[in-house]
Amino acid sequence: MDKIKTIIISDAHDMEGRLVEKGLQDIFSKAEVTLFNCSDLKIEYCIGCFSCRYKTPGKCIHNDGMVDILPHLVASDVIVLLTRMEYGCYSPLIKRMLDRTITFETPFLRTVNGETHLEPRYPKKRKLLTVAYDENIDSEEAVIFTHLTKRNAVNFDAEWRRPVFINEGEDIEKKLRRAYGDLLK
Amino acid sequence: MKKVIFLNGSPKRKRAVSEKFLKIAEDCLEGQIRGEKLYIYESEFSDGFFESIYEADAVVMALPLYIDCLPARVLEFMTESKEYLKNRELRRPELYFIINCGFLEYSQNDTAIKIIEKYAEKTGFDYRGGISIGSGAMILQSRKKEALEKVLQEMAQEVKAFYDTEEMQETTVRKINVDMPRFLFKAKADKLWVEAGAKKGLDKKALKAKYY
Ligand SMILES: Cc1cc2nc3c(=O)[nH]c(=O)nc-3n(C[C@H](O)[C@H](O)[C@H](O)COP(=O)(O)O)c2cc1C
Repeated sequence: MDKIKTIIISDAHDMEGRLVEKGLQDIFSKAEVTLFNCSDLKIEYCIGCFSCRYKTPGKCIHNDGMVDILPHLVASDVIVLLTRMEYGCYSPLIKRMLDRTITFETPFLRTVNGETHLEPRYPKKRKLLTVAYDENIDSEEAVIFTHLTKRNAVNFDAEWRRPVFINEGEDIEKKLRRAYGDLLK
Repeated sequence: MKKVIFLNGSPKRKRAVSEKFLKIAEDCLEGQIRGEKLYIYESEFSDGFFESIYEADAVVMALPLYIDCLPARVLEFMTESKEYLKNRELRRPELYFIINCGFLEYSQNDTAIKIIEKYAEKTGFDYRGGISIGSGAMILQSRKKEALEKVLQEMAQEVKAFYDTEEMQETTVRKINVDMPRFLFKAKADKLWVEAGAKKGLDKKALKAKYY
């Protein structure tokens, strides 16, 4: 994992989130890590204008925190998303950022797993690891999130890794260490 | 008469196809319910906004699929409405959805639908199902237009009638997309973007260019 370019995008702003964020930084200490915490950044909503498709390909109309994130996302070997779990989905903060990654794809279609999807604008062998935390994640939420992240790995043109679920009070380091081992495979 | 909130969850608001789908449902309930239209991407989430939702008998939420789930502001709406509603006496307004995705297959909406269902469960809505639309941008210009209008009308009848019946109702998710082989859908969609780019002086290669 040495010098593997890793981008960690996090929504942590409370005690629980910060603990997991710290845990991730420790586990990835040997990699070349760039951490973005969305609660420190200003990120506008995607307004669905599609300028990034046919007016200024790959470039969004908003000039905000995404301008810092995107080049790192493009260059990354490993993408780690750290999010509070809400209804089996990402937190709104992480989702604002994700909606803006539509620039990561060209306007043109390809077929993946028997469905239409967009072609990646920046093809590369990446891996996507997601870490979801909450007081108490129920098993249905975990199933929904697992499906969702599988689909999002296609958007990122990345190999999917099984998400890590962390309930309050659980052994963060142990769970993250296992996921890290999984990433090396 | 039932009070029904029509909730538009697209950032494109009045220009969204979600608005068109909502309008079809709204129109066939004209005069038969008390309707109100709210825009998730326009509103500050005031107490008044959530109070309207709380007081409704039914909420019909139309939204696009964004990155295989719900648009960011719709998630914010969910988080904040849950906070607001948890302090109120349980009323269980019915929740219906109309979700549409840009790609061909309605099956792409399945995960997002599960998220809506989970939200309803955790917030105290009476989840009533809805309509899952694939090829959302194309369908109103296709031969499936009438079939789509029909399912929207069927759902509207349920929105109107639920309290008129005594029995527990089945939850229905109606699914529809254009009737077209994938290669043809791809050819059509790709052509639209090539044409849109050409108007801006950009060829296909330029549309695929790396920016970073
Ligand atoms: C940020 C963004 C993400 C999108 N993600 C998806 C997606 O994951 N799958 C899909 O089929 N369409 C996706 N779309 C396409 C929209 O779902 C489609 O354009 C839809 O018809 C928009 O509906 P509206 O006009 O009601 O907003 C996305 C569009 C945007 C702008």
